[in-house]
Amino acid sequence: MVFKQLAKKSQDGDGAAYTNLLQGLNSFLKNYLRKRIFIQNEIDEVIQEILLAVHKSLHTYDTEKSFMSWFLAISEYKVIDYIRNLKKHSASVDLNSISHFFSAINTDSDLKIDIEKAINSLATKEKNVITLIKIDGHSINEVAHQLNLTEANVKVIAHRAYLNIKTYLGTQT
Amino acid sequence: MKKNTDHLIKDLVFDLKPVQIVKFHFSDLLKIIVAGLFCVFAAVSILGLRTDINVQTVTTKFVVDTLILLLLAVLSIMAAFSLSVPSMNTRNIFRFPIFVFSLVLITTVYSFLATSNPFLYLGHGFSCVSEMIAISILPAAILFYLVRKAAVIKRDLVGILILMSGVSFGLLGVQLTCADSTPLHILIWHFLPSLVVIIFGIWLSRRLIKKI
Repeated sequence: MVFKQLAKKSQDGDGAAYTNLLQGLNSFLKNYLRKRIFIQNEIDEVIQEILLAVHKSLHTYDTEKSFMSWFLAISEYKVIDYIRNLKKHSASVDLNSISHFFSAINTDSDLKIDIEKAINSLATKEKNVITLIKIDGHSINEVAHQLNLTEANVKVIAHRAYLNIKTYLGTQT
Repeated sequence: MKKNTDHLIKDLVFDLKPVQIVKFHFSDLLKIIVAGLFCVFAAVSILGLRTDINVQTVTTKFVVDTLILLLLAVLSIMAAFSLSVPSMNTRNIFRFPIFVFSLVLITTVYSFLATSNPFLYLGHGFSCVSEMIAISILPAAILFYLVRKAAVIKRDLVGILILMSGVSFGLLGVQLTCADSTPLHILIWHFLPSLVVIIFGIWLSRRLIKKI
């Protein structure tokens, strides 16, 4: 069955059609994104973001119009958003330099107090993500499940938290 | 990684509910135009028509300016509606209202520069700015409300278009009540504030419209 018909049935609440639609889009996106994203590990993450956006926008698809025009507009937007985030973070955050603060927690007691203060100054969401990843040692996947977020969201929140910690520690010294 | 996407698909299917399709109709466009014109008439009835209205209504410039502002309002509303629904076919539609607004702005700047003896008295323009903003609020608020129900991809652009439509009604109202036709006054107190309000739409859209 073509995407258009599956989307129409999905809008009526047909779970089987929706499963077929999302699985079909998943396969389509793997080929589509391979030409646009060169980091293979990231492809699945972008696919998940696109599928989530499709889910949130399903009510805007007009079945009299082209499905692919609607779907590709969402995909293009999410790919651009992904590239923009990637550029922003790679330009502003050096993850390795930030990580050493966390590994130093057990060895330097003054630094430990500073980092604890920095973590306490974060927003609740950022604090939860950082505590789960860096203190409790959970993986991004586990944190995403635990906090009911996507992996991409967890990464973005973690990046923001790192930046805030960096700024906090910068103002303390 | 495959397992994660499969897991997400299962979650999304579990979360599926029958949806009510969001479509923008001609009646939505009419609603906003009626709201905008209502605000214009309210402003005119409170502040009164400009003293030289009888002279102005027979001039081509006044009639053309009025029609262009109405056209700008309609184009901005239609473009905001189009950009609120994902589509590869309508993604460049924003160019039309932005082109019209730029044209109006350029014409105003040109008429100011072309004045051989520019009248450099700015006048009392704050009333024009506040009137323009007051008229803009209702149509822009309705448009924000309607657009929020859809799935906006280009949030910044939609914010600009929404405030551009509101500002068009605002400028229309100011044109009917402000008797100062000197190019400098129109540029400084009518168009530059409208430009600032339109740019403010970016900030507003980031707060009022959810990312998909």
